[in-house]
Amino acid sequence: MSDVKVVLNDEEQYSIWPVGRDNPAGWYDAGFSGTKDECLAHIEQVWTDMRPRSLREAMAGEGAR
Amino acid sequence: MNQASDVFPASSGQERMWFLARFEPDLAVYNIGMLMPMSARQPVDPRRLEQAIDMVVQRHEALRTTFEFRDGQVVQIVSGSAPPARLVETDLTHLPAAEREAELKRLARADSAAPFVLEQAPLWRGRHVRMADDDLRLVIVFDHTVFDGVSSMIFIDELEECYDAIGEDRAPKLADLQIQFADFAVWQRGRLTGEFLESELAHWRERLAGIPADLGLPGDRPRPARRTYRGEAFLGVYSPELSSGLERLAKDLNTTLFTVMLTAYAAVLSRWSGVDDIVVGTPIAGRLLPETEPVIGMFVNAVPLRVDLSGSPSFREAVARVRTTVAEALDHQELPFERLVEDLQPTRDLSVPPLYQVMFNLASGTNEGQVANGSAKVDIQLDLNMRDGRLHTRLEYATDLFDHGTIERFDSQLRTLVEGLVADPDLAVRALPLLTAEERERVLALGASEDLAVPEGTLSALIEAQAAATPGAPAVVFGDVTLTYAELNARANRLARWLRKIRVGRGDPVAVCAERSPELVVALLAVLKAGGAYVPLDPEYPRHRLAFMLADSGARVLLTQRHLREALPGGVAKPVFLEDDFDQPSEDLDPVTGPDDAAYLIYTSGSTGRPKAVVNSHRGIVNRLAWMQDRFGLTPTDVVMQKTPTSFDVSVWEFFWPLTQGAVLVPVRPGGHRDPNHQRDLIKQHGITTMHFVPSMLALFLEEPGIESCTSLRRVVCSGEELPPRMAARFLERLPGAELHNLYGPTEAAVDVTAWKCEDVEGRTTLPIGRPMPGCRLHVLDERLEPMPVGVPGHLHIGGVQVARGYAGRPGLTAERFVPDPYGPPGSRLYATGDLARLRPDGELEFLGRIDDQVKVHGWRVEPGEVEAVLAEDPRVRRAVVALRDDAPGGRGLVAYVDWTGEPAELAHAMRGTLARKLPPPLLPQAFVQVTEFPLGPSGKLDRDALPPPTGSGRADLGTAYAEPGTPLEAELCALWGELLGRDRVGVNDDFFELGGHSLLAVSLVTRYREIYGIEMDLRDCFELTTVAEQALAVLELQLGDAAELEALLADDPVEDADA
Repeated sequence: MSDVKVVLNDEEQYSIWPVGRDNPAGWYDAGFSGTKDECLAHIEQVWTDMRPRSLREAMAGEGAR
Repeated sequence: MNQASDVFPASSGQERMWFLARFEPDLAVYNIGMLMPMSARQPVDPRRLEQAIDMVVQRHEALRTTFEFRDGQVVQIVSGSAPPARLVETDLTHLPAAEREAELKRLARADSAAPFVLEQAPLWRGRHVRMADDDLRLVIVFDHTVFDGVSSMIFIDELEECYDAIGEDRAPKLADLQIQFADFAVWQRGRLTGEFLESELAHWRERLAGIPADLGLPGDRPRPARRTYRGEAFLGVYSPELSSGLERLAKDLNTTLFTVMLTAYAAVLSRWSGVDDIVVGTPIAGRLLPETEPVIGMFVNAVPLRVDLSGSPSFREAVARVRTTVAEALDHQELPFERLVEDLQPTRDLSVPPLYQVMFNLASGTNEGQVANGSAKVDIQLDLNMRDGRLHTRLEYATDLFDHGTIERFDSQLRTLVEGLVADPDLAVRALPLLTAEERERVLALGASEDLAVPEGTLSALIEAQAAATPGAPAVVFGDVTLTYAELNARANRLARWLRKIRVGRGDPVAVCAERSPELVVALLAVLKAGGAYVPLDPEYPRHRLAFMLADSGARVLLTQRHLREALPGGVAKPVFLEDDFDQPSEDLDPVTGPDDAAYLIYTSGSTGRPKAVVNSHRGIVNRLAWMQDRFGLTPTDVVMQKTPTSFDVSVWEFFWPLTQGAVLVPVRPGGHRDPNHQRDLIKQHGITTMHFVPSMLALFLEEPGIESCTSLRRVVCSGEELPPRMAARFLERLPGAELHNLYGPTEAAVDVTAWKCEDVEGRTTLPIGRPMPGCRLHVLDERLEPMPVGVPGHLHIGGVQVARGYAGRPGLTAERFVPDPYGPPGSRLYATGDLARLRPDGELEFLGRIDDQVKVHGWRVEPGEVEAVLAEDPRVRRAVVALRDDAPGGRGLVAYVDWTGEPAELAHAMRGTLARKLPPPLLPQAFVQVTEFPLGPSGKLDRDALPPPTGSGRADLGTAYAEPGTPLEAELCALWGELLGRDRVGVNDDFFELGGHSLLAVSLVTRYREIYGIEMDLRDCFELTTVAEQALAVLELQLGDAAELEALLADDPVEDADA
C-alpha cells in the first residue's frame, strides 16, 4: 500500500507527503510513492547534492567564471 | 423518630454515596436540586403545596429514609411516617423585579450546595420563593442516596397531580406502588452473588483490561493530590438546523442521537488527550424491573463505555463501534459501579475519579430545572437534552483542572466537530474539524512572529564591519591576553588566507578542535572568512566520537592546538596548528559567501542512531543574533562570558553576538564551564554583564556563596533544559539586578526560536517558553499537520528563516524531519521538533517534553518535573531529580534523587510524607536516593543515564519492612488493625491499604478509634496517614488536642509521661 509520496520544491529539497492530500504550495510530486520507509530510502538514493538549487547554481556559475 | 421504623441493608450505590458523604462531609456533590416554576398552577397556594409534598413523601419510603453505620455495614432506616413538610418561605417581592430571578437562582444554588447529614431526616429540603403576588416558585433539593434523575420526573408528576387533587378535593390518580426502594435494595443484594456476580465481573474485567488510570485531559492546572469536587457548568444550545441534522444523521446511520453524540464527544476527548482509547461513564436508569418504574429512590447506576477510536476510523465506522459498545454495556448494566471499582481499581486514589474521568448523558425528559451547585463529579460531564427542537448542552467541569474559557473552547470545538460530521460522516474521526476556518486562522496567526525585516549578511561581514568601526576596542579578553578588534580581525584574516591557500573554499567543512582561548575565536572567524563552514569538535569528547565526526563531516582540514595532538584521532584531515604564525597579509578577504551559505555544522545526538551534523546558514544565525540585539541592546560597554563548549550551538551566539556589537568577549578557562566558583570570580573580575546557563548549571551557580556581589550581571539567558519556576524564583531573589530569560530552540533552527522573560514566576507550575522570534513561526500541529486548538498538546513544528538546511549527508533523515510547510511561503519547510507543546490562551507557548519520552508509570502519564518541583519546595532539599527507571524497587517506576541537607535517615519518610500530601499516588517515587552531585554531560546538562541505580534502597525505604511497635499505643493500634484486616501480625510501618484495607474498613477504623479513644479522626486522614506509626501519632494528637503539648511530650521521656 502506498500511503506516502516523495515531493520536492524549487530548491530541489526532498520530503514526503501523504498520498491523496493536496501538496502545499511550491511542492511537486517526484513520481515516487510507497511506504514511508520506501520513500525515505528512495530519497536517500536520489538526493545526492543537498545544497539548495539556487546556491548550487550560484556556486557553479562562480566556478565557471 | 416518632414512629416505628424498619432497618434494611443499604443498596450498593447508597453505600458508596454514604461513604463519600463521610469522606467529604462538607461537599454536596450528589445533591439533586430542582427549580420548579409551577407555571401552569400560578398563583400557587403554599399550604396546598406542602400538603401535596406530604402526600408524595407518604407514598415513597425513600423520602422517609436515613442511614446509619451499624455493625460494620451501612443500613437504611425507613421511618413509618414523616412529620408534615415545612417549606422555608422566602419573599423576594421587596426586590426590584429585575433582580428577583438572579436572587432565586442564588438561593437555589445555595440550597443545592448545602450537604445533608445522612443520619438526619429528611434527606430533602424545600423552599418556596415568592417572586410576585401571583408567582410562587419551588426549590427542592434531594440527597442522591434517596433520589435520582428518573425520580425527579416521578416527583414532579406526582406533586402536580396531588396539588391538583387537593384543589379539586379528590384522591390523586396515582398508580399503586408494588414495591419500595428498600425492597429493591434487598433484592439487588441477593441477585449480586454467586455465578451471576462472577460472570458480570468477568465481563467487565475483560472489557476494561488495560484502561489508562487517567485519560489525561490537558487542564489549566495539574491535578491536585486530592480533588475538591468543585465545579461549574457551561450551558450551550445548538441551532434547530444542526439539531435536526443530527437526528437525521442518527436515523441514516441506523442508530440513536445518544450514540452519535457520544461518538462525537469521544472524538473531541481523544484529540484533547492524544489517546484513542476513551472510557466514558454514562448513567443507566437501573429500573429493569417494571415494578421499579414509578418508585422514587436511587436506582441509577453508571456504566463505563469504552470507545475505541484506534486505526483512524471514519465517523461512520466509529459510530458502528460505539453502537456495539453501548449495546454490550446495556447487557451488563446491573453490576453496580462501585463493585466494579472495588474489583478493578481497589487502590484508593483521591486525586482522580476512578475508572473514567468523563461522563456523558442524554436526558430523555427535560433537565431545564436542574440546579448547579458548584460541584463536579468527574473532570468533564456532558449532559444533553433535546427540547423545543434544539439540542441543549451542559458541560459540568472540575474547576480543579479547568477554567471557564477552556470549557468554552471545548464546547465550541465539539459543536464545530458536530457540524463537520453532519456535513460528512465519512470523514476520518481525526480529520473532523475542531476549529472553524476563522479560529484556525487565528491559531495559526498566534504561531507567527511579528513581521520584522529579516536581516541580510554573513557573520564574517558583520564582524569585519565592527572591526572597522572600533578597531582599538577590546574584542577578546582571556587571562592576561587582550585582542583588540583590529588584532582579532587581522589574525583571522591571516589564517583565512592560509586556509584558502590550502584550498578551503566556499561551503567546505573545516573541523575546529581547540580549547577555549583567543586562538579558538580566531579559528572560527577565519573559517567563515575563508568561505567555509566550521565543524566544532569538543576536545573533551572521546576519541572514537571525534574520529566519527571528522570522517562523517568530510572535513579536509582540522584546526587545532599542538597540545591536543595526542588526544586527537588520525585521519585524512590535515591538521593546522593555531599557535603557528601564518605569514599572510592581514587585510580582509574578498567575501565568497552569501546569507544562504553554510556557517557551521553542529552534531546532535538524537535518541536513536548515530550523531548527525545540522547544517545552519548565515541567514538563520544572523536572524537569531538580530533578535537578540533587538531584545537586549548590547553595547560596547557590555561584557559577555563565553563558556559553552563549541559543540553546543549556544556557543554560536556567545562568540558572535558580542563581536558584531563591539562588546567584549571573555572566554572561561578550559574546564571553567563546570566551575560556578570560578564563574562567579570571573564575573566580578571582568564585570560580566551577559551570560548563559543551562538550568542544571544555573542550579549549581545559585547555590554558590557570594553571587550577590555579581552586581555587573544584567541578563542571564537559559536554554537547553526546562527551567523550573522555583529556580527562576531563586534567581530573581539572589540576583535582583539581573533579568532571567527562558529560551527554547533546537540546533535545527539556529539555536533558539522563542523567548520568555521570567517575571511573576511565583505560584506557576511551569514557565512558558514564550513567543516566536521575528522571522520564525511555531505551530502546534497534529499528525496531519493541522493546527491544534489553544490549550491542546500537539507536535511542535518550526518554520521560517532559522530552519536549518538539513542533516549533512543524511537525505532520508532530512526529508523525514524537514517537511513541506503548508503555512509558509511556497516551497518552504517546517522542522518537526519531536517536542510536545501547547499554546496558552495568551499566545505563549508551553513546552511539555519530548514526544519520545512520554513517561508512563502504572498507566499514568507522569511528568517527573512535577514531582521534582514539590520536592524542591522543602528547604532541606538542595536539588531533586526524578527519573523513571526499570530498576526501581518494586519494578519500573519513579526514583527520586535528592541532594538532601537533612538527617539522611529521614529522607525517604519525610519526602514521602510531603509528596503524599501534594501529589497523586502514582507520582510517588518508589525509592529515594541521597546524592550530593548530579552527573552532568559535556554541555552541563543533567545526564540522566548516568544517575546511579537505586541500590541500597531496599524494603526499608519502601516502608514495608516489618517493624515492631515501639509504644503501647502503637501496639494497641497494631492489634486493632490486625483484627480489622484479618492479619496475625501488623507492623508499625505497614500500610493500611496494602494490607487489604478499603473504604468501609477505614470507616470501621474511625468508629473503633471513637469507641476506644473517644476521638473523632477525620476519615480523610486515614487515606493520608496510612501506617500504624502515622496514625498512632494522629490519635495521640487528637487525644491531646494540642499540637504544642504533643511536641513537648515527644521531646520528653515517654515513660514519665505515660500518665500525663
